[in-house]
Amino acid sequence: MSFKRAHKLLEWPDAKTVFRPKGAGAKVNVRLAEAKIGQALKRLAAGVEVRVGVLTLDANSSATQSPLAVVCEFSKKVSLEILNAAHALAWNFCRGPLLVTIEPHALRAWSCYEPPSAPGTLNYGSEAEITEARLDLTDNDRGSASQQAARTLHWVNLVSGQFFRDKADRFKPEQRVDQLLLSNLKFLRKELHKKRLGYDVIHDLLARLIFIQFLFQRKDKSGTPALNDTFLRKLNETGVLSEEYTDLAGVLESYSDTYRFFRYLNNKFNGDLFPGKGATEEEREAEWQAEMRQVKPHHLQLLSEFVSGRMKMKKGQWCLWPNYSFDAIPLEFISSIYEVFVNKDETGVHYTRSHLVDFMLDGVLPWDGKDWDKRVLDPACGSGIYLVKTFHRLVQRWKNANPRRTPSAVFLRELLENNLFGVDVDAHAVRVASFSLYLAVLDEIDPRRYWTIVRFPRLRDRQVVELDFFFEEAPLFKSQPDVQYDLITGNAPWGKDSLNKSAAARSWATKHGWQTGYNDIGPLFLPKAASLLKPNGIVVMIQPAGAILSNVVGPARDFRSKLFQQFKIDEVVNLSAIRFQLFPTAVSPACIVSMRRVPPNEEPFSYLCPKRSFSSDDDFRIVIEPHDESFITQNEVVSDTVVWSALMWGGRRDLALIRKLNRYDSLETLAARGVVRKRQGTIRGDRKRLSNEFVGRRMLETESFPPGTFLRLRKQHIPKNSDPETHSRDSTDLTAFEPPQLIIKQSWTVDSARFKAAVNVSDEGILCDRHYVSVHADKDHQDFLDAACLAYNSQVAVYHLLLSSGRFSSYRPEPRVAEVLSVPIPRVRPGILKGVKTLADVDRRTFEAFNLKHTEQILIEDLFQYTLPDFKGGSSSPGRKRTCRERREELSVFSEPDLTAYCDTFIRVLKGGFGENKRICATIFSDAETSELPVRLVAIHLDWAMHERVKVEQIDSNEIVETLKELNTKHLQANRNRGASFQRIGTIFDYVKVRRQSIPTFYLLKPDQVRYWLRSAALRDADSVALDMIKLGRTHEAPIRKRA
Amino acid sequence: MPRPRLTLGELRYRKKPTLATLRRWSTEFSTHMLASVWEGFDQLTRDVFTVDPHEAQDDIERSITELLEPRIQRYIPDHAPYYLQHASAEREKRSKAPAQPRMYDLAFVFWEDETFKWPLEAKVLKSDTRAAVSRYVGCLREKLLTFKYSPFSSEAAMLGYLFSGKPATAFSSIAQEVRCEMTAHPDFNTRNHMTSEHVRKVPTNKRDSYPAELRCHHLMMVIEQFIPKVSQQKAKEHK
Repeated sequence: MSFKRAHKLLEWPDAKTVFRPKGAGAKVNVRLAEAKIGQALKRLAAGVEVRVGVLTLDANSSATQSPLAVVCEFSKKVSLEILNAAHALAWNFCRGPLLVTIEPHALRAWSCYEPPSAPGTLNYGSEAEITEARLDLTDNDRGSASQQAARTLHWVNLVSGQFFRDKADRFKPEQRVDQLLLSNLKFLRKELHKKRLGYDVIHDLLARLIFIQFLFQRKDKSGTPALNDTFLRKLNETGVLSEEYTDLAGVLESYSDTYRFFRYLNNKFNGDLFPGKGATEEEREAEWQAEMRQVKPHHLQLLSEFVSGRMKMKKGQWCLWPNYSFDAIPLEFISSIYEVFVNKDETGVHYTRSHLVDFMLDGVLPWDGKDWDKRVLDPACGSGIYLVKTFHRLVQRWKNANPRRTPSAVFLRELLENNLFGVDVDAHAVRVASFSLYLAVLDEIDPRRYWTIVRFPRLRDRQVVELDFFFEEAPLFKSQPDVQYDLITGNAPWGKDSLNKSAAARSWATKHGWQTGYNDIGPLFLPKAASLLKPNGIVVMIQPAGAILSNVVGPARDFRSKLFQQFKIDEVVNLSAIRFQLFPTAVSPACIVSMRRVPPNEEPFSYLCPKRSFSSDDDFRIVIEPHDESFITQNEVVSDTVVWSALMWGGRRDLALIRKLNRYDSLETLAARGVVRKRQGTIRGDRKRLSNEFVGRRMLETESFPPGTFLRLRKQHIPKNSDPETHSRDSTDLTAFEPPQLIIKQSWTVDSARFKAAVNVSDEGILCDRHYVSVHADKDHQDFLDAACLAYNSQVAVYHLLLSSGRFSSYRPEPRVAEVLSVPIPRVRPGILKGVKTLADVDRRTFEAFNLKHTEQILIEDLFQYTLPDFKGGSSSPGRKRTCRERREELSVFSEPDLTAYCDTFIRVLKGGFGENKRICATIFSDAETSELPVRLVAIHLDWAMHERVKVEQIDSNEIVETLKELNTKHLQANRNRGASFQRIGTIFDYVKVRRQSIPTFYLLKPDQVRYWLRSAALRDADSVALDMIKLGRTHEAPIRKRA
Repeated sequence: MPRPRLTLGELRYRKKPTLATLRRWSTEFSTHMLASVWEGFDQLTRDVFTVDPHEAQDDIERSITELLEPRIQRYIPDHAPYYLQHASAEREKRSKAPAQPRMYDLAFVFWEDETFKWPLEAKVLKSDTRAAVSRYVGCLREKLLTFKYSPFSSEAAMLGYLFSGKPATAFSSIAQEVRCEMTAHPDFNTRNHMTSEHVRKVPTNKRDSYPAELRCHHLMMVIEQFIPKVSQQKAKEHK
């Protein structure tokens, strides 16, 4: 009942959607949340009645849905202790940023990024409550402080991410369970290593520690854990342990009992968690003895202090180990964290993020299938996160195919043996992957059965193998029908010269005629994996974006051409714009390639370019908005890499404009025709050559042009060089430094947000260093230099390079020299720079010189003013700001410059398509300047001529919310219960009644951020709407009208 | 395998009552688009050029289309949600590699989805007789009515470059050969512009994406005026 009230007050989805969602993706989360949080709370205190659900963006989707919030609804008021326990469990659960607890009298929100305090402190856990969002459910006064405060949790605020942006200080990733667990384990490792214990043994011990802790915390329905004091007592009674213990810390106090305990668990579970996997009894015993010779009682003493929480961490804080609930922490986190830990990565968390794996698997192995018998291979398995996630999905699919049945331990064992395979060149990775799969199996089995029926299969060297993927003789990789795979997935290693590390890969590449740019091994995983697929199988792998999308060196181009001509591509996801959220320490951007072994059939594939949302969303979700998706044919990308970069930041109109601009001359083409001479500035490098001709000449070696330089370079501002040393292989041809000369700064500059170039009109040539490019033309061709100078200083150069340079579009402010030289130059005419005094003049003159149409100017201006600053700047960029509402004092209403420009452009497109005589107008729903509503709403009306083309209608936020509600209800009815407000962006078609006339109307609902309401966005939105109208209009329901 | 999410189009519509409105707008859309074709042709008539009727038909077709295309471009509004493409490839029904995709003479291509093309096929009609329209009719029957052309659009246009004879007779010849009814387009009363309605057999696996109905616009463009008198004389002698 309490939830119903929240549903009403906060416009949340109804109870059924939250607690019993239809979509397979949300269903999985609800099942997990119920098992890990709901059941734990019920066991905690008798009589606690709680139901657990999740708030998700789209509860009807089969895709994985990271919850916006976990919801615990209690049937009656509960103690603070229970609420704190709920928060502690939700923090461990770590699948969403927020916990909402609902009691009959109050609704509270808690940050799942803040850990529970150490037990026993006064306010255990309750600091994590976001008290300003607390809602008094007994308060019916809409104007009360409680109800006002609760608006912060309004559904629109949650869906749009506004809540999380506003409270960013309560959602800091450093306090998340995975980060803290990693930090605690690192601390313990340091302490053990100080006591002279080797890293390999430390890692084995800690994996075991996590495994045993999992057994202590994994409870059956009655609340009895797999391991507990009773069990330990029995072990004492049966002589396994010499004393009676109540917990793990106690066992670890005794060296001999610890190892007896380990051996007991080894006998029970087998697997690879413990030493003693040799072929003979002697070998096995020798392995145990080898470990025991290294591990001393004081090491185990440290472990005991750690698990009991008695160990003090850095800054005097107590260890949080007792607060970790290994039953609730996502298992894939444990393995990922452990992977980072084992790799001794000190640079921070850098592992394949759980939501990225889900994103990949959603496309190829969705939750709602029933076909579970799939052979899956991870060719670079690392911690085994792909294998664990695949295991979960195969089990879920088995459940879908066998409703009301529980998978048996035998079935799960067979699943491990027959369906999941992994290889890695790293022995540690193989151990971690095996360990992760064991935990995954245990998580599916009733703990009461652990001791009777669970016996892990030996995975190492069989299903999970330490091996080079390119070693063709391994049984796992022989291309025969019985070892072919339905799915090959993973995160391939890559990097410059990484191929040098694998003789097998080099040999495979030579044999099969593949070569990659920069000696990168990563791309080779694709064709190799394809060779192991079943006819209908799919490869989906993370790949280096440079190699697949943008590198233009010969081998990279040849690789791409061969790949795209030989295999059918299903999808490419360019992760460049979110690379630092996914791979904080990676040196270059990544992408995901999904492909099949069959040849391409010209069907377009999906190209997705997700962007950052600058909220905690980035930690849990890859958000794909409509403008992030394009469709490309394989034929298109074989010949033209500009497609990737152009569609990363722009749309089809941008791609056409880039192609149009590319038909103009550039310095590169002029150089090829001998009109100009060009070269990169001189490189000092190894300084092994003495170039005495450099001495005494003016030389530009500063990071930027001298202050005040605008189009013309004054030689008197450039100092004379006295250093003759240059790189031994630097070019000796100095013609390009002769006057008349154009000098171009190679990298984009933050202050002007442009590239910069200047013409040297003096009679003395100027040298420059490698940060510049110098171009010379003889006096007859000086106009070319002026035209180029104009173009390089203009918005056109920024636009062109952002949409055509693989480097500049994805990660570096400095395009390659060849890319810089490819900037188009307008038709030459004398005096093109005459009268140009400001950057605005530069842009105006450039637009004229290129004869750009109005729509083309819009594309360039928007990208320059909003898209690029958003990419380079972040959350405070102009595009992220709220749309402008300007008060018109004389009329006491607001004008809406941003939305008006948007609507005007939208209408122009529709009129451009359907005729200038069409009656199309728009209404902007304008709420107060101080509105907290994070979305804007406009309506485009067809067949209605208002007296104004764009009308601003003043209504308050509540009215807009009411309109949204109404539209959502209509949309739900029309779209099989999928509400429009479940999307961040929605376009809804409806009729508006005006004087008995039904006016066909499109409502456009988008976040209140300028970037969504740009004129270029209007072009794309209206292009999309226009095509939809054509497509739907062609489906004739009645016979076509015969015309007279 | 497609990702399990609704497309923007699916999000927008499923509401059947909207279709009546959209159908009307869709029809008006083609009128607007074809108006630019006629305007382009008018421009062509104002410009000076000549045609040698003794050239091969393919070359004449190509030459005229190449002249026509930039003139149509001038009349397409800057903001229009489509653009005109010369020699536009139709890849939907492409034969297996290494066969090249079929090319439309001209096509309106939509910015939002460049696979969705509204084609214009040009054919030279040396005269208005039934025999002279055979290539024209062949294109309609074998390409447009079989989904080789215009698989996604329910409308397409044929441009007849008529060298001699009367447009009305040419329309009649086409109607007789195709066995369809030709009706004058109400929005182009002053033009030689007729439409015919056809129902195509949709392959079973394409029922969601191919429209069965096809409305074919027939634009008869009289070329006689561009043939210099000397050429006309030559043509007579040739006959």
